[in-house]
Amino acid sequence: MIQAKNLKKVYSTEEVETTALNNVNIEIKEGEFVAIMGPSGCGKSTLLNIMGLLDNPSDGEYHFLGHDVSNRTERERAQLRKGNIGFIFQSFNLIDELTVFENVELPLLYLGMSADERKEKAEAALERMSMMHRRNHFPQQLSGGQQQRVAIARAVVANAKLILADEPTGNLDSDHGNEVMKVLAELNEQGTTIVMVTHSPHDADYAMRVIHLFDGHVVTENMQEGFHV
Amino acid sequence: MFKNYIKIAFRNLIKNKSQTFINVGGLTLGIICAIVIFLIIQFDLSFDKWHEDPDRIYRVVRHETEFGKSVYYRGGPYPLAEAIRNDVTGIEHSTLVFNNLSNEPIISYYDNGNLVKKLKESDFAFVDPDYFNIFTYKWLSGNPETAIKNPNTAVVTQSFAMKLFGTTDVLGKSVVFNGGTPADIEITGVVKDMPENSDFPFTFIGANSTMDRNGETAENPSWGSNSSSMQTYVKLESGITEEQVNEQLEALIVKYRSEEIAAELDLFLQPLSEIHFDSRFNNYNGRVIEKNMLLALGIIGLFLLIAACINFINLNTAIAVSRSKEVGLRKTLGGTKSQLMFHFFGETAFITLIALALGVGLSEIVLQNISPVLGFSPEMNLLSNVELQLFIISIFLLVTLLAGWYPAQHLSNFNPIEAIRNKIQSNYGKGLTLRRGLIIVQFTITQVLIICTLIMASQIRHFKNQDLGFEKEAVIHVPIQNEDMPILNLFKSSLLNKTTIQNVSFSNTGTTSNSVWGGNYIMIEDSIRHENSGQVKFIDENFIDTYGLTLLAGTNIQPSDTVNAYIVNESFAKEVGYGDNFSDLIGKTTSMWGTEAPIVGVIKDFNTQSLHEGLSPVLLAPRKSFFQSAIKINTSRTKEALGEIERAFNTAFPDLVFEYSFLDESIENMYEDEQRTAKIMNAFTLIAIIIGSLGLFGLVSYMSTTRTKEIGVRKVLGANLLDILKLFGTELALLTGISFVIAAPISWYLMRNWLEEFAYKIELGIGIFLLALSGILLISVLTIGYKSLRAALSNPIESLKSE
Repeated sequence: MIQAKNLKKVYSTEEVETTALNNVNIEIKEGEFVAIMGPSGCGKSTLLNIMGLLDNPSDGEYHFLGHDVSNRTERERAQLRKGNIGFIFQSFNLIDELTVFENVELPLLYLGMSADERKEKAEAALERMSMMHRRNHFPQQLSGGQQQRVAIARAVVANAKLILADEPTGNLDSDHGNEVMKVLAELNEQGTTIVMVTHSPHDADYAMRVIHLFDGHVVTENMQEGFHV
Repeated sequence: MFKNYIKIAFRNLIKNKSQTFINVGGLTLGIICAIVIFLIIQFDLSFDKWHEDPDRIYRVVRHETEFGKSVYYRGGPYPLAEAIRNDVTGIEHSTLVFNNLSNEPIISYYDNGNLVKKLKESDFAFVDPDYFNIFTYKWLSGNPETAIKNPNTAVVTQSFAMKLFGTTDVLGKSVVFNGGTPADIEITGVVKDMPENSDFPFTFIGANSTMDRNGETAENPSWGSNSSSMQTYVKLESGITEEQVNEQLEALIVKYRSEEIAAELDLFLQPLSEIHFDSRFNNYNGRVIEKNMLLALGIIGLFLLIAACINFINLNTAIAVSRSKEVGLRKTLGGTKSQLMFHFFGETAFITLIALALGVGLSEIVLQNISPVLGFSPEMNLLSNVELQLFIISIFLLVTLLAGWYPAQHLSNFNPIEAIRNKIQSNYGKGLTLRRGLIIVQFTITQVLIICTLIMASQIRHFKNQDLGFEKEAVIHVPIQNEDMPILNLFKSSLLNKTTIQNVSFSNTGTTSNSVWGGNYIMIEDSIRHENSGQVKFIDENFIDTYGLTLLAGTNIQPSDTVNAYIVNESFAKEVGYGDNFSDLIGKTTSMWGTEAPIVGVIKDFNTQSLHEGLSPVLLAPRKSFFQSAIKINTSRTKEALGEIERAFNTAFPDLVFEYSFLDESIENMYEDEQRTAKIMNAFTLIAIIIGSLGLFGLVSYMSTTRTKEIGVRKVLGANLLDILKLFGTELALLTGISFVIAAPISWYLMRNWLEEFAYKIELGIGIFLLALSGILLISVLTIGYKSLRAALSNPIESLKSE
């Protein structure tokens, strides 16, 4: 599903050049659950942004679903992103002005689906996350865990093949964090590929494979045995 | 998807109430101005368009070269219409329209010899039968072909009939015109009232062939006598051009007058469509508006709308930062740039729609209250006015595009990664950012309006304070129409018996009037012939005292029925080469209108017309030609005096209707146009200031919230109140300064042109410009003062904690 070859990302300002990723080679197959770990500033989020087609690498090749997308325009990346990739953020990033239902419905709107279809899919996603009873609430009226469940519903509503999660439990207490991780694991069981950036070894235990980054390099890759379900 | 946009737009509106108020409020004000101005322009452009074949209807006007000066007149000689009918080819119809302006007639209705009602009516005309073939009327009764074929017939409008007779069923009834012998005028037709957008507002249209009584008809075979009360209208045959007729009109002058006169006199056609707009000639409606003025009005409307859009753009790009997370998310979730552009356009469109709905509703209220200022009342008729509907749609598209484009572009361009992480910084950069440029545009518009308004106000004040050369206070004018000296003397002596009355004088026009009597005076001395145009006033021996004029040399005139002496003014003395040697002029002979008489006195110059005009030679002479009595009263007992005047008037002239006016008020009314323009400008300036202040307030409140942390840090580091205020103030002062530098020359140029119209005008000194600058600075300081002071006074701990 994902193949990265010699990925490089350099941020340059007038005076300083910072290399965020240096010769990163990664392959992720469909159905995998991969955790990316490493200290702050090691390039985890940059890698996630490139995988999520939010950014282009400075050098190297990046293939997503068989397409070379290393140097696509923003518009082309947006087209490919739609419906294929779902995002989950540490700070949930729900739109405050929209209700729970409307937030979940949003990606479908951009896919140009009819209102009936949107309703059906959004409700199914909410049902799956046990959030139907909160469909008319606004994000501020929910607990952190509930907000993240809504964010996951939004990530999966368009049947995304890949879910990118950036520290999904970072803002949650351990009970709510576990709840979210279980949901992710279930999604993975049902066939969704998941790539998750995390600081937490506990969360990383849910993944099949852990990639450690340090100063922009892949340091180690561990296959995990007997991860929790 | 659109529903989603509307929904989120609505929630955003509710969430940011003050911003919504500024956006919607400012836009609504701009839209009200645009709609009201549109309707005014539409109203003025619609004058007399509904007549059949309006492009074939013309007025015959006159151009003369008088002593090297080009002068235009709307009136022509009495026999012109008839001569055109006989001698000019290509004319389908022609008519004389006679309407004696200095003489407002009284029309009385008698039933079986008993007076039922009498009316003073200024909107009357005597016309040829062809009049109704040229101008289109809606007939309620009577036959347009024959109605005024016979003498002593007249057609009246519906409202006139209701006013005089109390019914419109009036065919065959008769009225007495201007008292006198009851040679009745029969009503032979009733037409619908002319709409308000007509320059032919006649309510009583009589046959020109009606017998002459008291000068109400114009039978006058002279080709040399011209008056604006005698105008000629024609309808050309189809396919005939103006030029074809103009050539023949030139030949008429040669035929009926002479080659020499034809060299200095042109008769030519003025299209009906120009009558409302060409200020060289007046019209019966009394209001001529230059197309340039309409254009200026349109530009002001557009500018106010632009000013409102500028608020919108500035405020929305400023707060764009706070919506960056939303934009980033929408992009991450699959929103493309065009979808987001569309989204933000949708929001702008929604706000514009709200403002439009409010604007249309409020315009209706404004229109209902604006007619006293305008002098007319344009109507909205939203459902039937297709042009207005198109205009409103254009406003919607224009405002949405103008106000929506940049913010939409700006917002949808955000990089999603940075946007989600709230890393987008407010682009409050250095140098000339778009926002600063727009503020300069807005300030410039406001300052131009402020400067122009101040100059207008100061010019009008100048008019009011100008010494006219006579005493205008405590003089009451009462129109009279009676040449019977014993009755006039009775009226005068009965007034002079009263302690409230100081003096009474009869004259043709009073000292200052819109009605000017004049001609060429001739003075021959040592075989040098002085001939020039001058004004003549027929007066009695009390004129000088009543008006407080100053006799510089010689004596007053003696009572006389005919001209036997002249008193001339300083300007006359200068024109004939006597300069200040007034006493040398006494005893010399001059003539006006062919009557030669000695000069017995010289008076100080006084203004005989509005101050648009300068001084000119004036001759005062005794002659029994009186239309006006001037009564100098004791101001402490005005009310008592008025009562006594009315009683004396009704006793002396039982057939006339008592009317009066105060001289100082009549003089002030001569500047009605300027006062009206000034009032309209005041309103627009006020609106521009409100729109500008709203925008400024919005920006500063936004700046003060986004810069809270900066202010906190600065205060912790030791900045005092003044330092913080400077943060906000310096830039504002700079922008005001730049826009002043742009606005000052523009207003100077505009106002210099406006002032050209007046013989007496103020100097455009630097003072008025500085006053405007300090005005806008004061307004700005007041606007931003509260917000910036509050930001400056806030506890730095609070602001730092909030980050």
